[in-house]
Amino acid sequence: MIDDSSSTAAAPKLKSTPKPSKKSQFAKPIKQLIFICQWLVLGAFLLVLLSQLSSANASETAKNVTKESFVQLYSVFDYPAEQQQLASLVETVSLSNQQTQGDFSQTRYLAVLKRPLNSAGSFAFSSTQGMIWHQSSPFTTTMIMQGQRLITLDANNQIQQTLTAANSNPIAAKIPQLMQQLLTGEINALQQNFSLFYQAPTEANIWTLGLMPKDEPLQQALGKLVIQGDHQLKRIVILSPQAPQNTTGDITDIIFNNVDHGAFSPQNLNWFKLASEEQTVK
Amino acid sequence: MQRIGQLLLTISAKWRFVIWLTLITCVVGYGVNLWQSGAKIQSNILAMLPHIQQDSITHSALTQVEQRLENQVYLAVVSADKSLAINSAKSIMASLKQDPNEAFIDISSADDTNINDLGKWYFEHRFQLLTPQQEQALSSNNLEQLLNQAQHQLYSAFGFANSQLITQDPLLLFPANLQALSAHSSLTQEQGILLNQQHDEYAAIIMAKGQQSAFNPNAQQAQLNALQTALATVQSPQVNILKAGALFHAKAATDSAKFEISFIGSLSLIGVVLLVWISFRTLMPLSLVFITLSSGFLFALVATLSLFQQLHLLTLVFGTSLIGIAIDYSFHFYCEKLHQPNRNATEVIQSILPAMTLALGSSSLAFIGIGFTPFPGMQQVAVFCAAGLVGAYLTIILAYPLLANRSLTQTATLKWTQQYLHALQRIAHTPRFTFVSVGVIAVFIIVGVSLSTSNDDIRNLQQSPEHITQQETQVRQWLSGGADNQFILVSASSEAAVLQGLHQLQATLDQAVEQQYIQQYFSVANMLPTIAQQQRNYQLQEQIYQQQLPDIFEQLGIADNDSALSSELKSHYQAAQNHYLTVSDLLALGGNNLNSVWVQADNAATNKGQQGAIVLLTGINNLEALKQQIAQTELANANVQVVDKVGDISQLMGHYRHIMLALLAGVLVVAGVIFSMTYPLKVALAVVGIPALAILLTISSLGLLGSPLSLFHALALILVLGIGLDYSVFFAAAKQASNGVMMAVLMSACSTLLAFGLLAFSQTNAIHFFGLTLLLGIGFTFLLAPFMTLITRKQPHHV
Repeated sequence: MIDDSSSTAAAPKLKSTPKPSKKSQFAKPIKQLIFICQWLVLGAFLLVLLSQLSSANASETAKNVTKESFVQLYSVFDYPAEQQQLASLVETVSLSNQQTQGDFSQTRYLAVLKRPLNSAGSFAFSSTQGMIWHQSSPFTTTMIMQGQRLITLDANNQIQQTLTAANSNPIAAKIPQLMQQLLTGEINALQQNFSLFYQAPTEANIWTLGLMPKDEPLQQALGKLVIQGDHQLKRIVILSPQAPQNTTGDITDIIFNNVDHGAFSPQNLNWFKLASEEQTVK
Repeated sequence: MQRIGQLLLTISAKWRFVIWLTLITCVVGYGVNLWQSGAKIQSNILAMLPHIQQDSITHSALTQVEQRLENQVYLAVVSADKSLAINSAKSIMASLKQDPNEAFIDISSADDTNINDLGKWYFEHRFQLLTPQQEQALSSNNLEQLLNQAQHQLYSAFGFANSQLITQDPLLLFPANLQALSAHSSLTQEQGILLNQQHDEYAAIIMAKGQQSAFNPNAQQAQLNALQTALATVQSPQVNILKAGALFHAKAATDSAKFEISFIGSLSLIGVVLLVWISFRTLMPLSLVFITLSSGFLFALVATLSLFQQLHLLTLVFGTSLIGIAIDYSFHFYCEKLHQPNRNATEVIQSILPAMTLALGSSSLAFIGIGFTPFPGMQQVAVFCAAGLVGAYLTIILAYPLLANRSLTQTATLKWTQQYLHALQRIAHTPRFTFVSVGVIAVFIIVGVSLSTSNDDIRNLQQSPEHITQQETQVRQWLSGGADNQFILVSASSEAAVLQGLHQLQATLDQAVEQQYIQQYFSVANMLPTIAQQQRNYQLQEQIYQQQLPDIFEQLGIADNDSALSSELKSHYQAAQNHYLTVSDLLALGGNNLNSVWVQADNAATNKGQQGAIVLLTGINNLEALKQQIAQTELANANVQVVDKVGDISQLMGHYRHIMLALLAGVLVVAGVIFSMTYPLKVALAVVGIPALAILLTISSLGLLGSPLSLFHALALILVLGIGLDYSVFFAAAKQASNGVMMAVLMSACSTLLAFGLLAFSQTNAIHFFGLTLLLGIGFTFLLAPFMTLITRKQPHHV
């Protein structure tokens, strides 16, 4: 097995040093074999997660309380978005921001668990440097998503793991890009990957955007996304393919607070720097 | 030969012509028959390459790799807009599939492996899988660490943890294993299309396999047409389509060979027409020259087809050089006739027959030398040229007495060549000239030979146009990285032993990556632990499933009503005992790509159960170091070797270059012995010495020009020897009456230079090397050959 360090070292090199063209023509496609072999394992996993498992025999848990509200949220998928609505959404939300930071509180309702998992922390997003997801409770851990990589840091800011896009969760790989497209109002780019659904602002000026992956395997892995906001991003809900109608479905509910577009905190800057350095060192 | 010639000369001119006509008719009939029974033209340069001796498993591995890549075409549909790239790729694929000629088969984007089943297979065997860290934690009873990691996963919104996975893998051990099993790649799949992203651009990748060889002219055209139609379905200027594959090289090779044949062929023809007109002021000889060359060509073609069932396009290109030699005979005949206007054709042939036969013999000797190379293509050239010469020779003896009996008018050319010869002789008699020229030649040779180098790399022989190789480089980058056609082969007597060998090799390969000998590798070991490792992994997980489940559930907060979940997990664990991940299962689930890295020996009788696995290498930076490293690696029950066909062929070419050069010296000695029986020793030495000197001068010039010697240079030198012997033999035979010979040699040298000189401008390096060497060699021979007369002239005085 190639360890992480060597592969990330090799990755930038592939781009920077094109091989000499003087090669026997039948040689080149061998590479094809390599990456396909690599890739199919990854792809395989996706499907494991999705449809291949026998249905989980999860129990009824604390879900019932919240289930109703999520079913209501789900109704956005009855309203395919019109271009005009999307355009006005871009207008409404101050989207052209290159950087965003704030706090989050997250609740994961996993059908099989007795209790929901609550966590909180801060996040930072930069269109050039990626995204930081710093969880401070119930334990401290930090994820930095930069380029094609996902770096995990422990409480002492020591690197625990570096994953490249290909062998990390497809959701994780999509998130920074998704955030960028959301936060910079690249609706067109979003539409490349997702079918969009939209419900206009209600009494509290909250609009609801539904995202359904166009790619079938991705939809089965990622489920659907519901995003809510006013002039800022307020909430992202990740609904597993079975949720919310099915009791075995999982729901992740992330609520954003104190969102601003000011200068990054020193801590955030440090994390971005750490990630960039890690890349250049390797 | 000479005896047959003499015998034929006793028959009357008319009867000889009848014999010639019969002969030609027979050959034409035979040729037509051959063509109808499937003889064809081959333009694959690979078909020219020598066959290498390999053991059975290596041979199977090479065949497998080549078959897989054979006729494969790759398209990268690049666009900044991902959906556009995907949709364009889809429409191209649809169009290719609808092609009425079915030029392509296996049109695909993603791999044909059933990834559902493969994923399911891994998951079913999760009790046999552990990462090294997990193994470490379990063997040191550090369950806490695993629980901790599971907690982290549970809280992450971006992770793998979901209810379905938890119920089957409560400690969430499987995702890390899958990450470990999958190597690194930036390729993804969307809507059934293989995608890669670099910066802001996406490339959708399409693969298609030509139904027939890209080197088959009809198939090539059909494939190009199908592609053109398919690519025309994408009109958007925002899409850039890059192409790679043998097809495009084959097209370029065919185009340039076609161009070169027609260009070189027509220029030689024009040159010859001019030459004949200037020399004889009539084109009458030309029609006979034409007959001579056509019958020579006919003999050559039919002989080649009957021996090889196919004609290589390169043979044709080299074959055009036949004109240069076959035409000599006609020129010698006409120049002799011009010189002795009173004699009839039969008498003229009689007088040039000994020299002509000797020349045919020496040229054939040279061609036979070429025939000793292991190159099917070069063997064809040898047969082609030798048969062509025999055809021309027979035509002169049989058809000329009747057809070429008309008398010629004197022209100035004969006088000019005589003057040239006299001038040379005068200059040569100046002692200072002799001194200076010997000095200059000596210095030239010493400097040139010391500068000469060699390069036997076969990749130098065919160089496709830059726009093709550039696109290919780009496509290769989109396919994520460079690829190399060298690979490592691990072979053993059983599947399990090969797998074990592959795992033992991992350390060496990782070291090679670390030392940057290679950028990346792919081994089946990446996808499959050994059986022993799987057994260990299973046993280590016993503590999870048989002992700690309630505790784990408690700590992670997993609901387990009536212990239903834990008892189900327990029974799953127990049922999984002795169910191992095996190579056979993996191959059954894997697609063609995966299967093509596993090799079974061809010959079941001698290699019973012999199996092998190919380790694919990417971005080889230091092949020699890798070879050395692998050579030092010892596997317990398996063999490991680097298979480098290009390297092996190149080495073989170097080997044969040496043999050819030795053969050159050998032919010189043999020719010297033969000539010394016919001529006085001094003349015999000069006859051999002139081509030898010409060859030395050619090597020196190549050294000074910085063209490293290859087998193709050596082959050309053999031809230089053949033609050089031709010239000096005619001069030697002519003795006093060397005037006609001077003109004939001038004319044949001019025509040969026209043909070969133009080969030097070929785009194909192999032909270019060949042409350049001949250009130099013939040039030097032509300059040196007249000095033969210095020796032959003196001869009568001394005797």
